[in-house]
Amino acid sequence: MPVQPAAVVRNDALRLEGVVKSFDRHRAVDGLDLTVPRGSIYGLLGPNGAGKTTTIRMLMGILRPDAGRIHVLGEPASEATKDRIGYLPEERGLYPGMKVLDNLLFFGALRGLSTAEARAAAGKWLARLRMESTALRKLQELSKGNQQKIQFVATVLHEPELLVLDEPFSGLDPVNQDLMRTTILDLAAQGKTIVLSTHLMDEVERLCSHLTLIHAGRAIVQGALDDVRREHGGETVHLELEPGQELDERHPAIVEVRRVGRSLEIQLGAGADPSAFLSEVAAQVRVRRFEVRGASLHSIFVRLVSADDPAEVPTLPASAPRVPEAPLTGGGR
Amino acid sequence: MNFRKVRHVVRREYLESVRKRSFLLGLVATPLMMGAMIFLPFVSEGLVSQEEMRVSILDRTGRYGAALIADASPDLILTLAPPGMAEEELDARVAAEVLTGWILIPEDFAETGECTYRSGSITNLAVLESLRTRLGLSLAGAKAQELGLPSEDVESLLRPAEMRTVRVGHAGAREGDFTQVYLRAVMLVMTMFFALIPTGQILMRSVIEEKSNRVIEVLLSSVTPLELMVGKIIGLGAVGLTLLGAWASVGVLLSLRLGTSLPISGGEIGMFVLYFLPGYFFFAALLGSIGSICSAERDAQPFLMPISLTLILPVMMGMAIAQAPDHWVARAFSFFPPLTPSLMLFRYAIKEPPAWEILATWTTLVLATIAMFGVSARVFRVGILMTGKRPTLPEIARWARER
Repeated sequence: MPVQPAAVVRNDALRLEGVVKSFDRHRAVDGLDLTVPRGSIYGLLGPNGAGKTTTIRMLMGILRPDAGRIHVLGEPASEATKDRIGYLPEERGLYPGMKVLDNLLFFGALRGLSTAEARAAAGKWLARLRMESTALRKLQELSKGNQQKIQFVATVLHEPELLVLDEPFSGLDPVNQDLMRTTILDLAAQGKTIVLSTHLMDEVERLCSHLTLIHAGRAIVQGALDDVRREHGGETVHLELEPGQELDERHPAIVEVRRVGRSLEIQLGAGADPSAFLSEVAAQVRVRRFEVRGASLHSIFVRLVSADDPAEVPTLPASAPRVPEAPLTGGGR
Repeated sequence: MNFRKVRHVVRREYLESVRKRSFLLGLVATPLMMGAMIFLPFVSEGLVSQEEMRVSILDRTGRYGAALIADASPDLILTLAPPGMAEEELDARVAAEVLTGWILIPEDFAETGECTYRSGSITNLAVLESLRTRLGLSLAGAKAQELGLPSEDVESLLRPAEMRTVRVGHAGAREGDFTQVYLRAVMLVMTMFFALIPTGQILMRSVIEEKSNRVIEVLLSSVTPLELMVGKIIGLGAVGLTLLGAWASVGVLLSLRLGTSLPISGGEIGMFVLYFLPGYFFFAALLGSIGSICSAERDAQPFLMPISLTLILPVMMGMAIAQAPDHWVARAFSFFPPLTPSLMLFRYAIKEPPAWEILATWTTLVLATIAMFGVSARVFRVGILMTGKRPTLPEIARWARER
């Protein structure tokens, strides 16, 4: 018997091979391959309707794939592997009429914790998220943000090795967003694997080491964050000019300009040198601030999705910066 | 199936249901309501017959009225009208509510046996029946005396037969009358109804709630749809049994305290349990899958009415069944699974069906319940993740066929 790459499989927290799922005639997931290394924070990106939720539902065993294989923590996905995953769905939901603690004890019990274990874990997590005082209150009496935090506690209560978090920051105020971010990083530092499905490119850039961009049910970009940035699109510079100054956007190195408040986020063409660009710009206008960043995930996302399917304009959350209307095909205009 | 997880679902469903105020309401209000439904008609009938009735008799023959008046009762005051009194005058007294009614015995009564009762109300059956009997007896008595029979002989000749009714069954003979037997049958079916339908409805509502507050997605990430459905059905079934148990204990305590025997027989209790269990699983699976395809409770309402009516159909057909308990229609309907539990229970209370029929209808019900469970589990699996539009029947049929 040939030695299967079992060792490789075992090292991956998650491995999807040729996964297909259709609803009626619509192919929601179309031959998706995905490998999530253990201990990574992995970003799952994609426009609305790309197939992210369907993919997550399949690895949680809520939906069955039509074809392909799914391995979770080195084993074929099954009822047994479900209990080793913590899942925070985008559509949150616990029992609103039940007390916070009863909700947590129930979901802890379903995932195999004894009452004493669940109680201890609930106490620890509620304290960590500064929610101890809510334990005996009904869930529906809590604010939306606090309900989100309880939902997060229900997700991590049983110390899962793999966490699947679908839009974990939505509905949280900035203070709690920071708290959530720190918590995610702590969990990753403890060796947990985290799959983060989100629209927020900033969060992916801040947290994730790897990512997959899904569009129309297929992975169109995959890999380590730095590699993706290097491969797709040149450097991005942030530029802020003195008041009254105007940049000539026809500069040959510029691929795209986005205005973010008073600053400009400028996508440079492949091979363009940011220092040379700065000296040319500074010769014409007075520069107040100049910063070189890798290509922004946002611009990569928009460009790749549009290129993949020009007819379909990706839907972005209202808070995302506006994109110029010209088709972005890369390589300068 | 992971029974540890099912057990946790059962526990949650049970505890959450019995802690609700509506459970307490059902526990107390249901027997009260049932008692009212069954006994109110009889109580009010008692009220009516206790009302004093004043009936005047206009006897054109002058031979029967006196005998009638002789056995008047306190609540039925009979008086003789002067023989020459005008009929209009008596009608006017009825209109003025001086008289409840009056009876005209015409001159040819001896030949024709026909007389007339005139009143503002002619629906008080019991009174009319008693007047009719008395008039018949006094007519026969007068005729017998005309034939020259001594009055003692006339009395013994006209003494009506007293007939006791005893119901014979496998559990032994038991004296009773129509009202007792019929009431017991209705009570058994209504108890079945109040134990089955509200629990089934709670089940349906809890499925819809889990869908609408999205807890379903979290649930399904740790249990399978089948585990969830089975857990819910068992948990709420236990709620139904708790209700029945509480009602039964109160019934037993009451009858002990009052020193009367239990109103229902051991056989009836046996039949109840025998048909309640598969009946509950049948309706629970049906209502659970209906819940899974609905996004809001109002979507489910149209399904509830026919299901409730099915269960109380035997009560609506009750009189016909009581007259002919072995009629082929009742027997054929007993094999239609949604009707089986309540109809068989009703028929058993009226007249014990043969053992083979009990066995055959029960087996049919159990098989139908297993089939219903299989179909429901599949519909549930798909329906529970659907939101928005309610699926069409062909779509549901396709889910039911999918492996």
